[in-house]
Amino acid sequence: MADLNQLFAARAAAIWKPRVREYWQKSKDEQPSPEQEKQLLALSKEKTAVLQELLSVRLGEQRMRDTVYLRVYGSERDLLFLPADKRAAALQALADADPERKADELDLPGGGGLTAYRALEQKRFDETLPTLAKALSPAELEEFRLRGSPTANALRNEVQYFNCTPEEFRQLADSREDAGEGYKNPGELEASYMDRTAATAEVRKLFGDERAKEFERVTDPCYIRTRRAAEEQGVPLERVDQAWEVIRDARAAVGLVWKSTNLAGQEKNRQTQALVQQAEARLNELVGQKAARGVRFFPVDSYFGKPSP
Amino acid sequence: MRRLLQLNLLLNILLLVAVGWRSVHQPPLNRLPRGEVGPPAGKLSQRPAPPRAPAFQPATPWAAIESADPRRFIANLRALGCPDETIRDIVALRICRAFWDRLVELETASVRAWDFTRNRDEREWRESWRQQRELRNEMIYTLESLLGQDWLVLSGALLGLSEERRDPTGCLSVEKRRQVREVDLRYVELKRDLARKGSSGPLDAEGAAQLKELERQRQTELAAILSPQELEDYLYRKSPAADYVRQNLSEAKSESEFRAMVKVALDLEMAKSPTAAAQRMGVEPGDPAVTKAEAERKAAFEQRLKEVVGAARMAERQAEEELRLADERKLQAAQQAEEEQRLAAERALQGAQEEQRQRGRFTEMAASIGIAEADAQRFFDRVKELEPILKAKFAATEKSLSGTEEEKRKQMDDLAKAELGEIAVEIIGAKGEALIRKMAEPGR
Repeated sequence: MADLNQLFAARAAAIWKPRVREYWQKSKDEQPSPEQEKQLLALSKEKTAVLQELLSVRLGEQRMRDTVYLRVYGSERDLLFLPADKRAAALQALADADPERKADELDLPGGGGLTAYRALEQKRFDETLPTLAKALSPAELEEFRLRGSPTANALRNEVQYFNCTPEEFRQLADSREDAGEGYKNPGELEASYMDRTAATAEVRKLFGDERAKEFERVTDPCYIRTRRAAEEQGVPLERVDQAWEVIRDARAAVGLVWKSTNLAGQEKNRQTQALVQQAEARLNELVGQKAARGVRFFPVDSYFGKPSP
Repeated sequence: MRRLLQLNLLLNILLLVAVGWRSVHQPPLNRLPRGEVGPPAGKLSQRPAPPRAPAFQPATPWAAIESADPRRFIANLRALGCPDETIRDIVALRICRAFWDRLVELETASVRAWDFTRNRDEREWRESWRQQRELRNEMIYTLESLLGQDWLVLSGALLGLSEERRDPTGCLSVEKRRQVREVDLRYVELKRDLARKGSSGPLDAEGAAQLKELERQRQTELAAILSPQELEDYLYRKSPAADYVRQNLSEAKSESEFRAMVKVALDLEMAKSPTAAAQRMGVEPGDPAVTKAEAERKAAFEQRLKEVVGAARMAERQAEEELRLADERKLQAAQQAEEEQRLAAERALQGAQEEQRQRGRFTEMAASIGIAEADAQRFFDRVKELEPILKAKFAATEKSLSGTEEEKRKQMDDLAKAELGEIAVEIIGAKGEALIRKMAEPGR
C-alpha cells in the first residue's frame, strides 16, 4: 500500500503539487484547479482499481490515513458501542454498500449552505439504516440511531439539562424524526429553538404537565446559556435557578411593554432598556459578572422575546 | 516491475492481516519503554544489521522473520535483503496499526460509558482529547526512535503525500522532540482551559495576563530542555509571536527579515488578541483595559519594527499588505457572487418544480370533472400569463373593500371566481364554470 502510494504520489505531483512553505513564509491555502482536481480524482480511482486487481481487496485510502493519523470518527466511532464481531459486520456492510463512504464522512461536500448540508447529513444517515439493518439486531440499530442521528444530536443539545430517561429521549427523537426535523432549514430550527411553545406542547402530550413545565424551563436558550456560563465559573446551581427567574420575569415585563397600545415606540424602547439594565444588574449579583456576560450574548429581542411593537 | 510491486504489496497485506490478528488474539505489540530508547538510530541503511540468532527452528519462513520486537523484526527483514524503504513502510504501518488498535480500545470504553441522552461532559471531552494526543505523541516517538526520520517525512512517505511544510522540531534530537511535544501539549491544554472559561464572556485583563504568563512558563520549560540556540530556532518556528508575524504582517522578503520581526514580537510578547467568542462574533466589545493595552503594544511593536527593518521597508510592507487584503476582498466578493448565482439558480429550479407539481394537481382535478388535459393546460398557462395583472388587480380591490373580515373575504372570492370564470369559459367552454366551482371547493 505504501509502495503504491509512493508510485502514485509521483504522478499526482506531476498533476498538481503545492509549494513547500518555509517556516518564515505565510501559509497559503493553495488548491488545485477544477481540471487538476478532475485528473487527481481519476488517478485516485485508477489506484483503487490497481489495488483491487493486484490483491483482490479494497483497502480504502481514507482508512490508511486514519490509521496513520490515529483517527476514529463518523459511523466507525458511532458503532464502537457494539461487540467487536457485530461492529466488524456492520462496517463491512457499510463498506460493501458504499465504498467511498469513509472519505465522505470526513468531508461532506460544501456549497448549498447550511440547509443543504443538514439535509445531506440527515439523508446520508437515513440511507445508512437499511444497510445496517442487515447486520444488526433491531435493538442495536435503535441504539445506533439514538446515539448518532443528526436529529438525536440536535435534540441532545436542547435537552442537556432535562435529565431524560433513555425512553423519554427515544420518544422525543421519534417525534422529531416523524416531523422531519432533520430536513428543516436553520431558520425554522432557530425559530423553534427560541420559541419553546411547540416543543413544550409536544412534551406535554408525551410526558404530561409536570415534565412539560420542567422542559420549558431547562430548554430555554437563556436558561442553558446562564447555566453553562455559571458552570464554567463555578457558580452554584441554585443561583442559576434564581437567575432564570430574573430572566423570565424581565422577559414577561418587556413583553407587556411591547404589547402596550398606550406607549409610543420611543417610550417602549426606553422602558425596555431600563428593564434590561435592572435584570442585568440582578444577574451580575446572582451569578457574577463573568457568567452574566454569557447570557448577554443574545441581542435583547431574542433574549427577552420579540413581541410585536 | 509489476511482479515486484505485487510481491511487495502482498507482503504488506500479510503483515497488516497478521497485525490485525495479533491485536485481537494476542497482547498488544511490545512498546519501547521510553527509558530504553537511545539516541536516534539514524538512517536504516547506515546501521549494521544485528545477526539473526533464532535459538529454534522456525516452523514457517514467516515465523523466521516475525518478531513482536520491532528492532528484531527490522533486523530480520534486513537480513533477508529487504530494501530499507520497504522495511520503513512495513514497520511504520505496523506500528501505526498497533496504536490505532489502542485508540479504538480507548474510544470504545469512552463510547460505551456515554449516556446518550445527554452531551458528553466537557471534562470527558478534554480527557479523551488529552489521551488521544498522548497516544499520538507516543506513536510518533516510537516511530521516530526506530526509524530515525521525523514524523512529517514518515507520514508523508506512508501516504504518498507531497511535502507542504516542515516539522518545526525537525532540527532537534528525537528525545528532545518528545519532550517538546509533551510541554506543548500541556500548555495547549492550559491555554484552552483559560479560553474556555472566557467562552461565556470576553477574556478580561486578568485572563489576558494569565495567558501571557502561561506562554512565559512554556518558554521557561522549553529552555530547560533545549540549548539557547535550539530554543531560539524553535520559537521562530512555533510561538504565538511567530504566528502573529505570519498572520498579521505581509510576507517577509527573507528568512532574516522574518527572524528580525519575530524577535521584536517575542520581546513585546505579541500574540493573537485574547478575545472570546462574543468579541469574535462582534456581539460584545472586549474589556477596555485589554483593548487599550493591546493597542499600546501594537503601536510599540510597529515603532520597533520601523527601527529594525527601516521606514521605507515598513511603507513597502504596508502597501503589500493592503494589496493582499484588496485581493482577498476581491476573491471573497467573487465567491459571494458565485454563491448568490447558484442560489438564484436553485430557487428558479425549485420554482419550476413547484409549478410543475401545481400543474399536475390542477390537471388531475380538471380530469375528475371531464376536462381534457390539453384544455386544462391551456387554462393553467393563461392564468400564469395573467398572474401579475390579476395579482395587482386583487391587491387594489382588497384595499378598497369595507365591512367585516368575513364580508371582505366573500367579496374577494367573488372577484376571483368572476375573473377566473371568464378565462375558463373562454378557453374551455361550458365546463369552465364547473371547473371554477370545483376550484372553489373547501380545501382547494
